Amino acid sequence: MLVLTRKVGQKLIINDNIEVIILETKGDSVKIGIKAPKNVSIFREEIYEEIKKANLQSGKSVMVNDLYKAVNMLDGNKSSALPDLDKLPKVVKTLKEPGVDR
Amino acid sequence: MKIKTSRFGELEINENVIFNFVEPILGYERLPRFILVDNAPESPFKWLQAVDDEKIAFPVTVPGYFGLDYQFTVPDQEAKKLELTSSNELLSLNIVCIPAGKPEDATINLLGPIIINLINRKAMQLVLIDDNLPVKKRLFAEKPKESNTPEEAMTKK
Repeated sequence: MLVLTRKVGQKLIINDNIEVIILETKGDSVKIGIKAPKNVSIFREEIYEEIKKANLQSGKSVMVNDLYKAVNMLDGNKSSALPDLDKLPKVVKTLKEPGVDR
Repeated sequence: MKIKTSRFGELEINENVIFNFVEPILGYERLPRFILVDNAPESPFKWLQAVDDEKIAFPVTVPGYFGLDYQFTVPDQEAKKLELTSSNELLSLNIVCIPAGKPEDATINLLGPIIINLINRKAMQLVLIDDNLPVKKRLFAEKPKESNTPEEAMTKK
């Protein structure tokens, strides 16, 4: 990791086409301005971490049983047709004993 | 080909149902291949099952089904990654999180939709720029907490 110290108003140039400027400091916050081409994504780290955490929770721990219970909480009047999803290729597999996980 | 899944047993699948994540689902960089499993046609929830790890599967759904007004724009550079040429080719799903044993607290991730190109089956998890979109939006209304006495109920407002 390259560690540099900058004063307010000073800039960093990355890769020839990315510019980082220190705009203001206030207490322990720093206001940073970034000029970059459209194809460069810039995100706050905590947003990424939050999504990652939610993904990890969802991918591992939701059991089929809990999902069935969630379905049962739905308003009976709604049609369960999800026309958009029908366009996606999918594998249909009905469990013989609903909610039984291996 | 056959794949193993911990929730649905062994599945016989065709190569052409596999979604290839050109950018991974965050936290799952080692799993680029997923399929959509429908184990309850009457349910709005489907499963995004990892091809290469039997234990990993995400419940997914479409926010519109829950009355959520949801739309977003796919930035050009992301559309290029999926080789998208028109919005007709695009489908999006959102990952749902259900805390163990508490389906009433189910939430949906609106900030990081899964987007798929229907034609070439390339996919990715798009991180939207809109800070106001929640990662955990409740699907069901919160039940009001019960108060102990009528007096408490009056003052709780």
